[in-house]
Amino acid sequence: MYAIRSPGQLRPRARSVFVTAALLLLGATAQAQSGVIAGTVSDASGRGLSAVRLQVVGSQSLAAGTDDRGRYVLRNVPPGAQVLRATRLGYRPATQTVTVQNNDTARVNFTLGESAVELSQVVVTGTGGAVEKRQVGASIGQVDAAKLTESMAVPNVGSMLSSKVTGLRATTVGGGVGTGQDIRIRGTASLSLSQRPAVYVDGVRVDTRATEWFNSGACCSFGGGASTDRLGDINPNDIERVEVLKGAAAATLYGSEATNGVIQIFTKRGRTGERATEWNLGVSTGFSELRHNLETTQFPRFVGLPAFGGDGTRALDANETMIEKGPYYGVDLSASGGTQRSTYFASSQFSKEVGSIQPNDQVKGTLRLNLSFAPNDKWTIESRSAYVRDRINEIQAGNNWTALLGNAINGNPRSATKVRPYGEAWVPVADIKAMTTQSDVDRWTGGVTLNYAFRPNFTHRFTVGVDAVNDHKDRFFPYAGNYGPAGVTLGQKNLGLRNYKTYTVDYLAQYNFKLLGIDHSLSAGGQGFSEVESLLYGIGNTFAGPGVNSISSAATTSSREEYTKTVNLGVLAQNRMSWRDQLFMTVGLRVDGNSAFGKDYGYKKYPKVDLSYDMMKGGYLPNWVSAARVRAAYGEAGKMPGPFDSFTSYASTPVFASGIGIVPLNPGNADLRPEKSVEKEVGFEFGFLNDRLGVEWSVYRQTTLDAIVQKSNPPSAGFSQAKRVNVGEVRNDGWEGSVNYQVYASGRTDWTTGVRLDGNTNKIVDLGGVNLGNNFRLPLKKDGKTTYYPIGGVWDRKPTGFSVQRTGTDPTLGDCTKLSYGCPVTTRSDTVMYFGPGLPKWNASWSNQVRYKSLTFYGLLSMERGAWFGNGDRAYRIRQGGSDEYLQHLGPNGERTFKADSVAQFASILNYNDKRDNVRLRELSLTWQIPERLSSSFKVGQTSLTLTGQNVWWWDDCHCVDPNMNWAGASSFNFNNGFLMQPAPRVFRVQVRTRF
Amino acid sequence: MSLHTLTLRAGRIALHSAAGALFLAGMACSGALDVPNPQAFGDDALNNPIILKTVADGAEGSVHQAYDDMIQITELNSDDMESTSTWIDWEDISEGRLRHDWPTPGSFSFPQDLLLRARFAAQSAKERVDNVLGTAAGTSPLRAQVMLMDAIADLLFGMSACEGPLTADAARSPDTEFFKQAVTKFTAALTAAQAISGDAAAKAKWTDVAYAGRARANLLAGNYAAAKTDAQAVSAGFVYNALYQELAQSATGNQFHQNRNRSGGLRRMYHARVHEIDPAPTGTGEAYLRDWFDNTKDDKRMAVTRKTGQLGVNNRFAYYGITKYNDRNAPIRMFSKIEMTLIEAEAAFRVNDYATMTTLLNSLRTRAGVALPAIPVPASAAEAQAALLNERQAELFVEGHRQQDLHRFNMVNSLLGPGHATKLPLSRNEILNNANMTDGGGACPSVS
Repeated sequence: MYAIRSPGQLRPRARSVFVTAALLLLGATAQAQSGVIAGTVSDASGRGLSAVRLQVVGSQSLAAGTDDRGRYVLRNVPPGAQVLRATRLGYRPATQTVTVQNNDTARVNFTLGESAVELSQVVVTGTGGAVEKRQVGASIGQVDAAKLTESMAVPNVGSMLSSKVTGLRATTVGGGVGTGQDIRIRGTASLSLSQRPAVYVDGVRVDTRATEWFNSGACCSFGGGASTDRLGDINPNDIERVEVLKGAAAATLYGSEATNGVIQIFTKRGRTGERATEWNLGVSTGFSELRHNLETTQFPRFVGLPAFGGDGTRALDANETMIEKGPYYGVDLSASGGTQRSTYFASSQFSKEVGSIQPNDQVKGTLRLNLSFAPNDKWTIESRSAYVRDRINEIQAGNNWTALLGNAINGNPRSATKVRPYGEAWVPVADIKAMTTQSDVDRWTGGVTLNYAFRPNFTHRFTVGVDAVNDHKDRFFPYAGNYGPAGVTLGQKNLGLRNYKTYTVDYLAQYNFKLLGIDHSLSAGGQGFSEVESLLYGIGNTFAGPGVNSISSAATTSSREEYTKTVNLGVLAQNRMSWRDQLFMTVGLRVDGNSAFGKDYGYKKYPKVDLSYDMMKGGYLPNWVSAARVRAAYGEAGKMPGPFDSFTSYASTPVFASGIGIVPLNPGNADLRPEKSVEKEVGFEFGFLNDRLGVEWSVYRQTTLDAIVQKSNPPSAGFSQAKRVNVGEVRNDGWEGSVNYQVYASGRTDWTTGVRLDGNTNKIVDLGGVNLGNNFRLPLKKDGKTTYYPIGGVWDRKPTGFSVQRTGTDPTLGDCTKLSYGCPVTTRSDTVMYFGPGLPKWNASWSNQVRYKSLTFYGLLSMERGAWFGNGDRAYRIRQGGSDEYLQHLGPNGERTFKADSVAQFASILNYNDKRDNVRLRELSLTWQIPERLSSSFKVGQTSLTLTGQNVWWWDDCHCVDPNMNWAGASSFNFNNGFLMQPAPRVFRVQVRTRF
Repeated sequence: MSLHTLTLRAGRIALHSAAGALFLAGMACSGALDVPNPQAFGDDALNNPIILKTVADGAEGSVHQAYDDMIQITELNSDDMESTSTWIDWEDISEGRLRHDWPTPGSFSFPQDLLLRARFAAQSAKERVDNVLGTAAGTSPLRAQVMLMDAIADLLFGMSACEGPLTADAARSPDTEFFKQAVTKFTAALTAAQAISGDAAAKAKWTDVAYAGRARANLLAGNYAAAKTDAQAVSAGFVYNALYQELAQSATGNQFHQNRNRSGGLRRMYHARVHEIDPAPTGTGEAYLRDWFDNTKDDKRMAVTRKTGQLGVNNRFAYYGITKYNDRNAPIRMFSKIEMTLIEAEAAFRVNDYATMTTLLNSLRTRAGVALPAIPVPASAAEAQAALLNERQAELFVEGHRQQDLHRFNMVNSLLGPGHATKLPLSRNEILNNANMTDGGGACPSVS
């Protein structure tokens, strides 16, 4: 008998309580007459491959996975000839036929070659059931998360996706610990709604909020816009793979929330067939540190002058005094295994991360338990459960009086005092550091999936799940701090409670049959979710003295409550047809009802159709072509309005000294309906050199019809909120391409390289007669040519001329006759003019992985071009009398000069708008696979040591700290202003990962 | 597989699939998609006598809310204040750069938007009061309250911008039409106030507000005799304040008082007139402008806060904070008998009765708490005008009158120099969203 055990796997009862319980609960069922298939799966170099799925073709339950050494066992296999198929993301699938004898073991070994083409991988998201990718006409991106986490210490889901999937842009917009990433797929498809894709974890819809939640009438934005990202709660080490539906054509079956695509995260599961628990332990440490490129290097040249309110204190350079190395410590442990009919995967993670600008740290712990049980060949029950406790001392950043860096780098060094050594314009850094801003999250995400095979070709899947988030925030201003500009004089305490729940119900039936020589896979079902968010705020203002920090101890207290709820229910049907396993066609329809639709609007229908043709089946391609597929897809998807946007409503508002009034708020729209995006896509995949070289290309046009435009009432017609009307049209034209090439492969060395490119042109086609102002411009028709402008384009005044004025006065420079060089005066245009789009016109990334013996090097370089942003900080710093850009031109003793005055005068009448163009060394890692002879002497299995750097360096030309900063938070609609945000740090980590 | 078998199987599929679909559809039909909004009222919910008072208070509160912001922005465009901020739009206002149909909304649009929305809220509330109360509306204080807010919104808007819509979604009309319309509305509101029964205090209050409002509207419309008559009808000691609370802080209002920050302070041309009583940092920063007539006396009506060496946020100009509203709860005077006295004085000035004007002005200067020496009767129209305007500036300091005073007495050029906008242009938000306006169709404000 072939035994699959490593030295440390013999004492399951001693491992942990939950694993033991799982084994007791999921014990193997009685066996009938059967045999065993066992063997190993290795790559071309002979190394065992983990996470390979072995499946007996035609059986849903006869499947197993390989362990870290590539070993597998399949029990209870019926005697006779069986076809066994081995698949793994990134490798060419392989099939072997084996004859199984009763009470005997058949040994089958596989060698899988790496594949630059992934047409044979199985996808399930938005496809109406599991299907090979080559059969789907729409574009679906995949990320092999398990492989990624093996070779890198991945900080969060956003960085896992960043530059890994063409068309998906994930950029860090605020750099405090726990803050989020702006994730967008294929541009911007709405004129008003959030562009963050819907995210599902194992079929359960989850919270993706990444913008600050606050009530301006109540008090506060706790961290000032540097909000925590709920996607950051997910433990990256729990993730097996990620599927990305890029647009309406692929995501039609997700209905009214799919315009921006759908990201589905699949967490790890145990593997059937294993007898012992497989343990995986990761220990990591490291630090994060901002680049020392703040515009304060000139500050120490200056002392505070009385004329500027200074007291002789020498000003501090924030590069030297604010930026620290924020340490990181993390440990994660998982256990997985299973029997022939049951699996378990249990994991835990604990980490502490300190920010580069402090106080700012995060302590996070996660627990996960995924179980599956197949009592017989018809039923499979899967349950998944994850708990997160995430405590963050939030960074004070953003457009905020108490922004730490905002005060340290935007002041005037000549105003420096002992209390304000950075010449802080608003609140002294020391007082900000005395504040506390905490977020404490309890989150549970869980779901149960029942699979029932009524017949082998007739299956049912039913999933229910919930994601429940309780977020407690508080912010405390100590008594008598210098918080005047923030409206706080004698202390303040703010509390916020966010309770969020989303419930998911999903049912799908699938029936496979053959008719008139065509294979059909008919799916039908329904999907619904309910999302409820409740926000509570409490404010206590003015303490009697130091020593207290509760709301009840304040002189004045108040509170606020906000509540939203959305219910969406949809039914869907789809038929996938296959002709001779080479031509595939899918037709489908989803129909949605939604509580956010206007009361006079009914149900929304979303059709789809796609075609895929596997050219390899025709036999007419030359031998050097190893894979070839062309595809086309058409699909519609929607984007629901805000929860209460359709309601006509009047709001309560505090008036007078202690009264309340009611004022018109929202004119409402009873006919409000979802935005509808229609996407057409064509593309191809080709594999050459036995799939060592893969080329993929897609071209798409996604047109958003019925785009919701916020049609503001003229103020003279009341209602302060705009009426949402479905009158806009937006178009996204884009292309995506990738080339993956396994340059060299041998037992000692291999080298794989890949280039990903994508481009997007966003056009506002129609605004339905509504004038939305500068950032939303209608096409301009002139001389027979139409010029389109994008959503969020950057518009502003431009300089029109420069002269030296020797008479009169200038508002900024004063009496020009008293300046020997006169007043350098830049003039500006009377109207705003177009600079460029807010998002890149194209993105590129280039990855390389080189292995030499036991060393593996990985690097990822990314590039963005074409985007502009309002570089608000740049002009703002100069207007305050700070910034290296201005100070460097002052004389040795701070004397005004022609150049310095030129800069000051320019910034006094114009904002700076700069390009976001950058090249970024996004990821670097070096992994040493510790030789087995060494690791086994420590009684452990496969062990690796990894050095990782992320966001290591970048090159830009924007006079900014980081060209990717965005002031409004990661899931906000606005994306073209970088005002006062915290830049992202460089992250360096060391990780040891071992199995036993 | 035969077609018959296939049909049977297809039927089975349909049954199984439909079970799930029907479950979801059933939920939909049973009201699962009906989600109420618990935090806002629907239109019908307000047609309730119990809630009507709150609707009227909402209209009044909206006017109060707007007033603070209107003051801030119009004073920046006058000689009372200047921008010491780092905001380009404040600097543009302060330097008088604004022209017709300004390409960005800027800070000046928002106060106008608030006023126009407050007017809509008042008109909408009146309609609701009439509908809900029926015949009882005629004697209800609520009706007078909301009609007055409608009139006040017109009056303040006319003082703020050079043109605007006289009704919802209407075309542009000049500011002078706003004053005329305000007179009409105040007249109707006065009738409503005088018809109030069962609430003597409300009747007295709203009657005074109606007279005071119409007095100012008449003054600005050039109806000086009528303005005088109305002003005299206002009760002695009358004052009507805009009331604020911390939670209802307005957009720019929270910048206004001197404790907040140093974005807008006393204009530089008056810095030399400031007498520092208790210089900071050791002292409180108490300071006053010297009296325009007797520069040995402090004018307590024009209090500022001065901390030695302190600059504005822009780090360019010395900063003198405005002390008048020293916290966000501070009431702001909207109408008062004092203003009525000034209106009477101006009515006398307009008929060259400088003696009466002087008597009236001196009654304010010499009153307790101000205690400034009486001024002599001016010898010329120019002196009389200077006396009148100096007294108006002092009495109504940062109460939102100064821009209009400089404009109507054509003094922008002499005080602020050439090329300075005399009033604010119309809100860009109104221009862009009003069906009867075109972007670029404006021709005001005039420039000094």
